[in-house]
Amino acid sequence: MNPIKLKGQPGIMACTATEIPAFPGESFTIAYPEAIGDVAQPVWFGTIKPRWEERENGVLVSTGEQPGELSYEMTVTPGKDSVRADFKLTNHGRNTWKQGMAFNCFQCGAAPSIRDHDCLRHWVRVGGEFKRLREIPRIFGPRPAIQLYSVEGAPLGKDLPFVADFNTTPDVVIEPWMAIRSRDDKKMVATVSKPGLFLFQNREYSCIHCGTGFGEVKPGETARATNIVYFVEATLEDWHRRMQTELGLQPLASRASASSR
Amino acid sequence: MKTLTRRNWLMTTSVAGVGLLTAPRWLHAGVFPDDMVLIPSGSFQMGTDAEQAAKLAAQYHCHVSWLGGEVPSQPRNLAAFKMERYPVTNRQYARFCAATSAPSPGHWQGPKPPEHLLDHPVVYVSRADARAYAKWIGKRLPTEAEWEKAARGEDGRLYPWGNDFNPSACQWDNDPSQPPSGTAPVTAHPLGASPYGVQDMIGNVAEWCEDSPGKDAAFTKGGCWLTATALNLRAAARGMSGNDRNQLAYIGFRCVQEA
Repeated sequence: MNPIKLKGQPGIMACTATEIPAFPGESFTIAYPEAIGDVAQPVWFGTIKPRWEERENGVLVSTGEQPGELSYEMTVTPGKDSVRADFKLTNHGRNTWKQGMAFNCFQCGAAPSIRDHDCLRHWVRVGGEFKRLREIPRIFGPRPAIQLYSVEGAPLGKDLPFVADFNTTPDVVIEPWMAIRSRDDKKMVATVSKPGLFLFQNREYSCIHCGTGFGEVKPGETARATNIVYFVEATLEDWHRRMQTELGLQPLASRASASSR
Repeated sequence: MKTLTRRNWLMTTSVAGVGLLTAPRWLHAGVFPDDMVLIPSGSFQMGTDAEQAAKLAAQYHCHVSWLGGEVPSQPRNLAAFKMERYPVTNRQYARFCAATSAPSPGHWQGPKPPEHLLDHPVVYVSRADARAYAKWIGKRLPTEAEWEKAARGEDGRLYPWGNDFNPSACQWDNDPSQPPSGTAPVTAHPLGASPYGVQDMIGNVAEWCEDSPGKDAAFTKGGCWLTATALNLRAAARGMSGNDRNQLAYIGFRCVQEA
């Protein structure tokens, strides 16, 4: 089985995933990062013009910088049924970021077998139980189609300045992943980050986001984190066991000084 | 095409397709649903009361907060107005583009709508695009309250046709074994008529309203061809309201004017 094919979109942050064995003929957009940097004041994708470079074995590397503020490198590695994005984010400013983040949009609106604007097939896990997203409280806010969710091991969404206005669901803390089952309930896609910072979902586009957290990032420091999107033919339970094993066996969050980049 | 002015466009539409002088044939052949429906003045109950919301949430297995935007129900008293019987079609929007040089929706791939979509509702239009069209023909977009009254009348029904969902009364995502089939001609679902005779309000395309839940957002009403649950096809539902700059495959509009 060949790995998923990725193509970077010149000048913007998105790459397209096609030739996915579980989803023949369908495409998904991995729009990473839509925003990146200090969660108090991240840089939006319209400001940064990322460069895409193709490496061996279908690997893509995206780089971008905002002079005096930040630079990042994202290595996107296709697998047979997953795509892994490894971030290195460097703080070039003068102030310590209390929390670094990447706002990662996994766009499913172009995949007819998955798109789900009603959230009938969206799944999360709360308190050790799988739940349909529609069972989780939602806030009707100024942009009703969007919703933010707090995740385990991260600050509450309402305390994250960049995303605090995105209708944060109160009183519920979710595992740092979100999945959408296919119309025939045989397949699924999912996005998971380690460390995960928040979940976000937009019904207008049927996109799901698992924000990547980098923790505190001091001036000159480079922090690392990872997101994985899965495209699998599996039950939710089987995929969840696999994902936990993969992420548990291989700790993904680490940090290094900027000089070690 | 460039010679079609607002004046001669109004002349042609006022006689329902007879005597068209300047527009190319594809602009005015076929269905020509420009007529307006009177919605009489008076009060109606807008939204959903808490008890009914709880019942609906239980019936559709969702947390009641997903209906939060439409709760509580409240009486609204509206002046009489007229609403277009059908959503604005590609054919109608093409006249606007031809007369004003407004950009055509992206999916046309040129100045002319695809032949098979002429009588489907126009999509890929932002709220600003919809407002510009409405202004051009001397109308405006409905408020959410006007839209909801036109859809459900004065007896509090859930759908234009009554309280029970009728899967044949609208264009929606009704077959899990098949991908959603896209928009339909605006006249395809006559069973969906509202108490006043307004058609195609549920499913097919969600419709821009004039008012907003917040900055940069707009109410959209009616669900669309992608909606897969009857819960979100009720006249009171407002959960898909979103960014008013979006030009999406499932949002269109219709116009109103004072009675």
